[in-house]
Amino acid sequence: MNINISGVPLTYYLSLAGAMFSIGVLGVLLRRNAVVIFMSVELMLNSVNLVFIAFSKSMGNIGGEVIVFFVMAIAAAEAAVGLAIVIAIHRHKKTVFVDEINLLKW
Amino acid sequence: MDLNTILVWAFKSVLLFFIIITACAYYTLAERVVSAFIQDRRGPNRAGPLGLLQPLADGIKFLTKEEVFPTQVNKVTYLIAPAISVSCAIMSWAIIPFGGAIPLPDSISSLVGFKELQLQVANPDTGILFLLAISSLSVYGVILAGWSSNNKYSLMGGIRSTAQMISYELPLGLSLTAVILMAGSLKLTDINNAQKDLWFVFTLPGFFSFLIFSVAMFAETNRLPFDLAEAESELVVGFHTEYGAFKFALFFIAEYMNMITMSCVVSLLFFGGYNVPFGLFEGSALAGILFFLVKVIFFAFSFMWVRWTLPRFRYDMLMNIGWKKLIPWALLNIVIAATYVVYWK
Amino acid sequence: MTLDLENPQSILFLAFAGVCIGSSLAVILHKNPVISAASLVLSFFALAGIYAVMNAIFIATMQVLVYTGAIMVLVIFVIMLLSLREETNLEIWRNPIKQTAIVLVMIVYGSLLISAMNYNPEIGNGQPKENYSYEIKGPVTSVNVKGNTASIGASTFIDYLLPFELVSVLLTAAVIGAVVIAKRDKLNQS
Repeated sequence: MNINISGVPLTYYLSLAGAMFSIGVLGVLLRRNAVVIFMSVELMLNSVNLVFIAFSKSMGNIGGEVIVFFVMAIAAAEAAVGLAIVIAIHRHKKTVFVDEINLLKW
Repeated sequence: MDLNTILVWAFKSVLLFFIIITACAYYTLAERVVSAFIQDRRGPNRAGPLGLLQPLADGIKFLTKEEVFPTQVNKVTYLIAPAISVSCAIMSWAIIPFGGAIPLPDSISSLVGFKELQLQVANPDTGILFLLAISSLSVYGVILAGWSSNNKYSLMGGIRSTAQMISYELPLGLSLTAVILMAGSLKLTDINNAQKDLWFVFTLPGFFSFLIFSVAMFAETNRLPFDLAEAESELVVGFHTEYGAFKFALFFIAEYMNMITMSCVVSLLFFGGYNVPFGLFEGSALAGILFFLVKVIFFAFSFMWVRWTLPRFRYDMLMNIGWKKLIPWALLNIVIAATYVVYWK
Repeated sequence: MTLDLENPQSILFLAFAGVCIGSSLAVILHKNPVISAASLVLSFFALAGIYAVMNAIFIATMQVLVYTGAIMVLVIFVIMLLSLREETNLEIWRNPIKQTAIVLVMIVYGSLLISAMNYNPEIGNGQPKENYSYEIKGPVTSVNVKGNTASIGASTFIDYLLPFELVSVLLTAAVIGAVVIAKRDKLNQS
């Protein structure tokens, strides 16, 4: 049977989340700028949040929304540390393009 | 969710929009008259009786000035930045309640489908958090304006102003936590109803919250004594240097509207909102609205009063106060509020 | 299964979903990193709108407060402070490895979409159970709250108290770590 959340079937939410996740994966694979790669990772995290909330609403369990709250807190922590690393790399190499940071390459 | 509800929302939003634009326009006139009074001179009194048509004259001036588009700016963000500022300033009015519920007579209530008119456009479950979220969004107007102007004064002014606004969001939110603990709910109507017996400013945690919140609110709205980012003598005009006629008018309107919003929030959260003191006129919504307006006008006046009384803070002193002094006091205040709620109520 | 077009919430969902997908594509395709960041802000705002359509109003507010209001401001600050230059993306379409990557990701998404369309769970009768209240009766705590914010709060502090405390420790560690990593080295003036 169909599960509708506010008139929209559950699968529409899941396909939107899947599309955002795929766009995020493409962003990580295709772009060279480290900050844009970080933004694509945030897109992926948000698509997972959407899936959690869609299932939380359809099953009536509030645990999904609580987990989303924690995912947001952890994404904020990751943003702070990740961007600090980008700043530190820029200070030494004067670039943020990930294919130019290749000191450890053989 | 049916057509009736949507039409009522749309009607309330449009009416509220016109009311607050007019209020904002006359607030600019009031600022000039009050600052003239403090400086022992006369304000504008030529455009109409007692200068009451001055906002109309200002509006016509802004609309008819020549629009200058500098060539080296990034067009998209240059045009979006004032729009973001004004939209966020207006959006925060959606949850402010101006009074209690007005019972409708039967003829109108059969037409619209509900019995009591709420003087609030929307009452979501997360009332006061919505205001914090919208003030976080208004940071984008400032930073995109500063960056897209392609001008080092604008960029410096924009970055400083943004850093100031995001630093002072923390004490703003932390001081609200004490009020929310005492009221037991995030909705603004519940916070107001919890102050029927005693205004929150007369309780110990509420008083500390009020002090921290008022300092933070001056910093959030970029007003003196925290307006280094747009001080005329230091940074030309700061982030809106390259903005002329109507675009500048949008930033101007956004700033004054933010001030009125913060005055409303202070009077709702700490000074009893639309409750009439000593329980007089119980049940009359009109008395509640009048008292609320008196409180809002007093706080709006205090913005102007402080502007011409206190000197300006230097930027490093400003950040020092925000991070090293207000945040620890706000955290201590949460502990005091929790103790108050558990042991005294 | 189709959208119930009589319900205005489903039309709002379509509008927000379109904005979300459009601005996500702009994030990965535009050359200027500031415009990329601004499109991501728009995408997060549209996602917050979708959460509000689903009646998850607390999470919608948190999305605006935390993601658009804090994380993206940090990203835009970093982009402006480092003055990042634009990236010419003509090279993406010429590199065969990246073209294979695009095709593979589309195949994976297509298969996910097909399996989502065939998803028929055995739960409920088509109406979602609205999680507006939280009730727990135990030997020590007994709580019965109504409302979205109240039930998330009760669930966090009763069922998920340990993860909550651990996340607060993690946030402290992240703040200290970020300050230490990004600090300017006094010995090595660069």
